[in-house]
Amino acid sequence: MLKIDSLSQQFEAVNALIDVDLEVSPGEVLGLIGPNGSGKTTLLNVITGLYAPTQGEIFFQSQKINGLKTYQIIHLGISRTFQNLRIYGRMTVFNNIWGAQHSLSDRGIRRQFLMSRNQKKDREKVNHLLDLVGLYERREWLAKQLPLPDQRRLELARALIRAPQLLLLDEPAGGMTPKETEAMASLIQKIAIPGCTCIIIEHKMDMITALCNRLCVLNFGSKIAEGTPSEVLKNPLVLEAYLGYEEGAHA
Amino acid sequence: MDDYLVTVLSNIGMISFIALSCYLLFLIGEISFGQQAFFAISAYTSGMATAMWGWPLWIGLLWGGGIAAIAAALLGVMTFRLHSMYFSIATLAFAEMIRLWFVIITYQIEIEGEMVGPDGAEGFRGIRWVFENNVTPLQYMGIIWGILIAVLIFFLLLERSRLGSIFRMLGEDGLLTEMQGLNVVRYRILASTFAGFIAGLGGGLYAHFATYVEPQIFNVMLGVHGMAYGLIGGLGTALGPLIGVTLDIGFLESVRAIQGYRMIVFGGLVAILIIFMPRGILDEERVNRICLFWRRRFHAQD
Repeated sequence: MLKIDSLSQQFEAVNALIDVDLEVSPGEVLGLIGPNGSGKTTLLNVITGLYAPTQGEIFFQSQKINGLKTYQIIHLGISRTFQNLRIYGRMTVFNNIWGAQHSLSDRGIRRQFLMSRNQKKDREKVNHLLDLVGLYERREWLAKQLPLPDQRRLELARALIRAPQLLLLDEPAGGMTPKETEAMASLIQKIAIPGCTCIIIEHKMDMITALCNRLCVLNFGSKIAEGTPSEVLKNPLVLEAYLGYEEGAHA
Repeated sequence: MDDYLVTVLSNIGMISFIALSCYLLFLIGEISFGQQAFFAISAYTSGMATAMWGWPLWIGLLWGGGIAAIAAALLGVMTFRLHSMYFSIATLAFAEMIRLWFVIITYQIEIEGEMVGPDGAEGFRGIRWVFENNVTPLQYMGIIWGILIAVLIFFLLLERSRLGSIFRMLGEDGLLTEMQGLNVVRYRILASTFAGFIAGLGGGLYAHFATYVEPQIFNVMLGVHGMAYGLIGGLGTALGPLIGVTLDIGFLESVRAIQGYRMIVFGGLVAILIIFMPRGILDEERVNRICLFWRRRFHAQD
């Protein structure tokens, strides 16, 4: 489904990604882990066309996507969420999700003007998804009035309304308590994983091991390990990357 | 109706067009210091259409608005990569360029022994369609408000449509909006074009109301006022800018007791509102609360 071929991304003197190869097959849930600054988010940004890679190629369903504009890549069936939580705070919860599916059908400007939020098909689709993530009762709130875990859920729902084939989740449980994280994990398990191939970036190992069938570990922009969760978490290189970092924090 | 009231209401109507034009750009998250340029372009071109070429008013207005929209689209194409301060500077520079161009351009023809047409810094005199066609000030006020209400209906439909939500999404987070698969550039240019056309309608109406325009009228303060009206009245609904215009022209300019102090009071009002209500009286939060209240009161749940 997604194939990344010796990808490198350089910012001035910083090598954010060095020669990364990665392949994701349909239906798979890949966990992307690594210490802070190891290039995980950069990898998602390159996939979604925010940066043009310095070297290497990306194929999505055997179509080359590096060089395409962001919105064109999204049209191919990729959705993502953001680590630093991006929502339309001054719009209602309903409109946040409704707005995300405008480009799915009738992309002509005249149709966009004629279609209102009373379109029955759109309404039902959005309301159903709101119901799944437990925000239906609060659909007319402004998104910024929601507490953080609900904003994360809103972001997940917004990514799912396009029924993407590939879903990129960037720290879906960032800033959450263990209990909220657990709820988020089971929500992802229930509504995201059955329908799409996922790449999940997360620091919380419980969540990663519960959701993912394969892990890829980045450190300083290079891939240092790949495999099933139990394999990867025993890998000495991975332990060094993580524990070395932890020891530094304790000193 | 007394003449003074008709003049005030006409002024409120005409200035509302530029306020709505600025409001549309606020929706897509940009601050334009150049909407007065489209007001000016249309004031001149529609004035030329009726005074020099003898066209009827409504064609003249559409022609003026159309030229303004084309100019706005071109400016939109040139500035689509610019954001915040850089967008503001570019639009200001464009507007000043247009204004200074009107200072030097002279294009006149002789009609019934009289020279008619733009005459540089002297301005453009004799846009007399209203007198020649025996339109009373009251009737002309009706024309202004008729067109304004049409524009407002357009805005109300826009706010309910997908297109309107795309504009608001753009205004909040352009990158995120592109992540929803929308071609952001296309919608930015579209919003600029609409805004140019709306400012153009106001400019055309103004030229025929005043019968005389000169470049100095269209300086940056006109555009700054247009923006201030949106910021006072609120960016949550198109009625916001109208409230701003009514407060300033209908109240501050018309109440004799504060005449001479108008700009001081107005400036103070803007400063206070920016601190306490940064997105105006009717901001998104209040509009949403009013909508919710309305729905609970008068409609069944869907």
